[in-house]
Amino acid sequence: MELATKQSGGTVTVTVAQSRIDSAAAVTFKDAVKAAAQDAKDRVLLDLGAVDFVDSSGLGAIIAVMKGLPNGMRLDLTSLRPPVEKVFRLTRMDSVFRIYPDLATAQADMTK
Amino acid sequence: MNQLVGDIRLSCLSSDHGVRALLARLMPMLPNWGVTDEDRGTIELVLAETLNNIAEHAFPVHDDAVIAVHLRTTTDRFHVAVHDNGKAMPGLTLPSGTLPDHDVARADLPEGGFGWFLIRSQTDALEYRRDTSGNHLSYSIRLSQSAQPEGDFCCEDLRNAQL
Repeated sequence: MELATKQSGGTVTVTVAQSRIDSAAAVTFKDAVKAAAQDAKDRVLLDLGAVDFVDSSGLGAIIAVMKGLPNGMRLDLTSLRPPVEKVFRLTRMDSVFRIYPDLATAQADMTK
Repeated sequence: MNQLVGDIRLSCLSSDHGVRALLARLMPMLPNWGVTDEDRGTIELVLAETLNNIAEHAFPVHDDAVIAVHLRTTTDRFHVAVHDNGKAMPGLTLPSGTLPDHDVARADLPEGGFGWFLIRSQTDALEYRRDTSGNHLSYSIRLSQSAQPEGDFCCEDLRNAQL
């Protein structure tokens, strides 16, 4: 799983650098993001701008990452491409996560 | 009006990598049938859910069984028929596909159970049949824009392509 990690303040931004979070990738994705998020204090921001396919296994992995974070720490999402946004909308998970249109908007939002 | 635009038979091995390989082969063909990006996204998602379910539940042990897929595009619909010789659906019926409850505490959020909801929410004419040769599943997906073949693309040489 190819990830790029950047820390700024209490936020760790994790950028997924591959195009699919599918059944074949879900487990390694989950483990890699959990490891990458270790240094976050307030929130983890998952940048999905390079991802053009997420299936139910990938969705489950993203939810599992959030559930594994310490109490009070958020997992926010940014830059969802249309097919990925659709999976979150259909499953109503768009009401569970904060989803930002782009990285700049996500990083500027300091709301708790 | 409802003319056949494309017709292809593919197969994949009963593993998540087998499913990924089939989709990698199929998806670049769909623009040749005039299927839009939006409809391609729906097709890829529903096929992935279908085939991963079969790989996981019909073949819980074997990663090397073959799943056969017959795909046809007509002007307004994408038709899917899938055959495998694995285990039957429990109770010989398809899962109800109820959306798991999302309005719960974080620790109780569902991490699975979305697959059949996604399939049911995006398909029509969903049918499952079990006979001596195994499982037969079929459905269709309504296209948001009419499909039409571009140029003289011919799907004949791609028929029966094995993965």
